[in-house]
Amino acid sequence: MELSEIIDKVQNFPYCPGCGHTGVNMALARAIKELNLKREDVLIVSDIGCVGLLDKLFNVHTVHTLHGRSTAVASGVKMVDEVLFENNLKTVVVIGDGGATIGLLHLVEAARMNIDVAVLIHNNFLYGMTGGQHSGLTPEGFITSTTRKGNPFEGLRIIEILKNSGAGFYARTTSQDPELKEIIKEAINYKGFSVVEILEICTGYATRYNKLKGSDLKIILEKKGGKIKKAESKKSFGDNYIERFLGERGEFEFTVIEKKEEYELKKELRIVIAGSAGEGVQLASSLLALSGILGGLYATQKNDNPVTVGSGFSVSEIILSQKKIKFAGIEEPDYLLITSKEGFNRVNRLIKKSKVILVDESLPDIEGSIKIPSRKYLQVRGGPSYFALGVLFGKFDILEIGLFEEAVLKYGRSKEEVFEIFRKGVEFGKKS
Amino acid sequence: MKIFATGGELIAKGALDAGVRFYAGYPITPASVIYEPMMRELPKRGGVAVGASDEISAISYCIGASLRGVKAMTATSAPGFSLMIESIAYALMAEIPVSIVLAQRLGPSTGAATTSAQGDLLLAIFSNSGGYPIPLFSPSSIEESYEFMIHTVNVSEMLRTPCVLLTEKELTMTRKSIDFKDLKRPEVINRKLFEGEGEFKTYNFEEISDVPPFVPVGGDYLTRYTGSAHDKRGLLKKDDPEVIEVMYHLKEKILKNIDKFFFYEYSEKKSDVLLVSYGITSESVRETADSEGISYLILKTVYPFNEDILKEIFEKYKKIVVVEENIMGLLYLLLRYLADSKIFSFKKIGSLISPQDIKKFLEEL
Repeated sequence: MELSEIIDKVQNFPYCPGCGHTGVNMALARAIKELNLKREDVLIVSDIGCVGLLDKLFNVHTVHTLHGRSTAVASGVKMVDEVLFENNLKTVVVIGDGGATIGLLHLVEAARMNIDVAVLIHNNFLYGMTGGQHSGLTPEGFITSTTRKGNPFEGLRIIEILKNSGAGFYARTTSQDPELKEIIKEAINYKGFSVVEILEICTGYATRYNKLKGSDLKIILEKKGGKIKKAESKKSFGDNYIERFLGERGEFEFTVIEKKEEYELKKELRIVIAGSAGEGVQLASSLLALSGILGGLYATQKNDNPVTVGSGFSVSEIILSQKKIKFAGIEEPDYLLITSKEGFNRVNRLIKKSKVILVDESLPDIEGSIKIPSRKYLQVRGGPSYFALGVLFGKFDILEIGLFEEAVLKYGRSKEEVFEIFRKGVEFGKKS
Repeated sequence: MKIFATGGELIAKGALDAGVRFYAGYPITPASVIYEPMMRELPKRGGVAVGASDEISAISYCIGASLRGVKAMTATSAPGFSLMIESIAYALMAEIPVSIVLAQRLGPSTGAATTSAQGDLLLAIFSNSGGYPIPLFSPSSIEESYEFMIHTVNVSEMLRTPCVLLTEKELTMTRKSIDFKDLKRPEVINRKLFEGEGEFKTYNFEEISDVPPFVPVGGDYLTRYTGSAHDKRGLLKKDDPEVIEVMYHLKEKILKNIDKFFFYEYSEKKSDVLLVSYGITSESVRETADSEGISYLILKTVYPFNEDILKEIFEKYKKIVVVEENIMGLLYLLLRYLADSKIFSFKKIGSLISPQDIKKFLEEL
């Protein structure tokens, strides 16, 4: 393929005379040509800034993205290409100072996951398109339109950051390096994440503020640790994903319930269990709901807890009904089961509206409530709730005990201990 | 056989059945109940599911995956959605299908992660720069989470534009017994591909409302995708007439196709009052309307509207009451221009709006 089939004529480039971008673009086009890549098998992803104007110049697949996001978008392309296709789309990310700093985390992540993209960072020490302001890559002492006395900070050591993030291929050089094309070829061919930092001088702004000759680029390069190029073989994202994730095919893991019998519920049953997080309230509540479903009933379970899972209150509202349930909230519970102080505080507003209240004996008196020793069973996760449910089944005949036991057998944890506590609750309920 | 499932699980199942093959996510309550099953289930079907370092990465990965030609989605809550906004506008401009689930919680800001709310309606529809419509669907029950996830992916693919499924904490996290075989399963729609007739242009259309046939990056025809103002070939330009035509096309392909995706549920009774709602509040509205003999309208495509249908319904009533769980009455604000002075807003936050709450409001109306 001719070079002219890959890239536009240099005279059509939108860059200032002497701009390093021109040389890098040509090196990239030559690299594509010499690698004998089909144009349809190459993707260039770019974003904002002068360097991002290149998508118009190349005749390959191009994606022009948001500032800083090109590495992430290219990563998405390659995650799919590596796993679902044949990893045949050579993807080059072309970014400048802004793309590298806004998108720093995307670069770190792509390096960490070893996604098969080749990133060319055009580091010209400032933001050129917007007027030559300093960037995160501007060297110390460098004068820009926003650092008139010289940049007080060191520029980011981007290659060192990405090397330490796991990049398998990394290189640093200048736009004047005659080997640049070869380095880009290696980066494109590397299977996994590769990055090349290319130092350039912005002839629009850098030379306006700083006394710079072309040969000064070498001095800046030396200050940054000199030219480097290193490649080591690492497992790519696609290989890792296929090995660790893709495995046995299977059905969606729903909680599936085969109806055991047709239980006839006289009227809709609304139960609220209020306890403390970490004490298995929601697990026990789900078993109550499941026992209803085993009996052919409709059920809902709406939970309420703070953002943490192991502290504070935990409340479940369970509705069992012969009919389909619409609104899943409970305004007036038939049964309110309170097993802890935190639960008590949370459902305070429901106390007057509840028909029957079971409350742990350690908690303040509630008129007309039944006191239960539920917190004696804290040693088993869900213990207080299982005991309270036992009392409910024993005293009020809410559902068949066999249905609850079936639910515990099929869906519960620590089954023996749960049965023991539940049965103690049933006994307690029958006696009280 | 029944399942005991959350709306989050049904969204995940709906996404898989809609043909989603890529998911990127970042955990956040109450959307983690979608992230977790997608990470578990998608690889079992040969798809790719990844955890991203933040929500900007998540949506960017999805955009990349969609560009490569597969159906992609993510799910988040308002703090994460806020981070995605720029990228959603990008997907809109670059005509890249992507589906985003926005599971609401009480806002603003970090708000209350485990408290239900419906305060993000306008955030979802109007947050894009340029003011373009974003098709927005909302399941009105836990069961519908499945059906409307499929619609969301379908419409996104059909129109080559980002679509949002708006749900909330009590729909994604409440468990319900469900007959899975009873759930509605919309037919799956795939994006229209370019089949080689005529010259390929990334953004080609004849009629302004046509959706350009798609070629993935890496496909047989060279593509040129961009979020900058562009002509039909995807070349960056400023105020060329073709560029302006493309800008109108981005709106018209959505609004002119509204008949294909305007979903609603209308129950007509002999009443002066019409209750209007969407999302989680719909179940309370149904319950109230059924017990009191009142008409109701549930919007499942919450935006854009089919104005003709809404006008025709609204004309029949003396009073229209929009019920929703937020501070300002957001759907009420959107609908006001269609119903003059006879529209009222019932709104509250902090807990679910119950049928009793609605009855009380109607008594005082």
